Amino acid sequence: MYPNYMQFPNSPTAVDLNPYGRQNGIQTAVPMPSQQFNPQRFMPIMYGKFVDREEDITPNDVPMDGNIGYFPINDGSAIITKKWNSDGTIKTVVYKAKDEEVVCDEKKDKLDMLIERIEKMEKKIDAINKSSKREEAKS
Amino acid sequence: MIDIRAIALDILSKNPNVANNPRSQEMINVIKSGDNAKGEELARNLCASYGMTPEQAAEDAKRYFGLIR
Repeated sequence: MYPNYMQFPNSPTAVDLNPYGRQNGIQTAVPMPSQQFNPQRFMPIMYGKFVDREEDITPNDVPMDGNIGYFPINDGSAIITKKWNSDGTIKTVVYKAKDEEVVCDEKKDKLDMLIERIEKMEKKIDAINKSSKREEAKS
Repeated sequence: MIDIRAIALDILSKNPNVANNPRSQEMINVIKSGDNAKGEELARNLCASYGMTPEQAAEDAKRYFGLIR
């Protein structure tokens, strides 16, 4: 789960990757362009794993170094984050997906409410206009 | 007399997994401080987080150190 991205520069793998590094067993003194892995160029590491449900996350899955563990639910319904507190407890936060239909319904409700208020205002204006016309007619 | 507590703390503190781990360092500091109540609270919380009783944890620890078989 904790990928080790560190590459040891003196390891045989690192030397063998350089096609100019060793030829016929003689090591050249000419400095070659480094093909060494630079961890700073890469995205920060995220800890966690995909799970079917929250119960599948064990305390050992939560990084003990203070980092937050991210656990997306396989069906895409939520993302759970877990972090060890200094008192030995685990803080859990659940980010739930908001259904798009619910968002649409909320927008529709707001629009309906606005239309209703406009209609009420129009009725009031009509009533005021009618009463003012009656007063004009009387006078 | 040999201070087992000091030796255990020294071994723990020098372990790279603990030395490079800020969360573990905080726990070690609680032990070093000698605050028994806080240490017990921390231990009980850890047991609860791992879903085990303090008795089960103590038994596991004894088994790990070869004190019981």
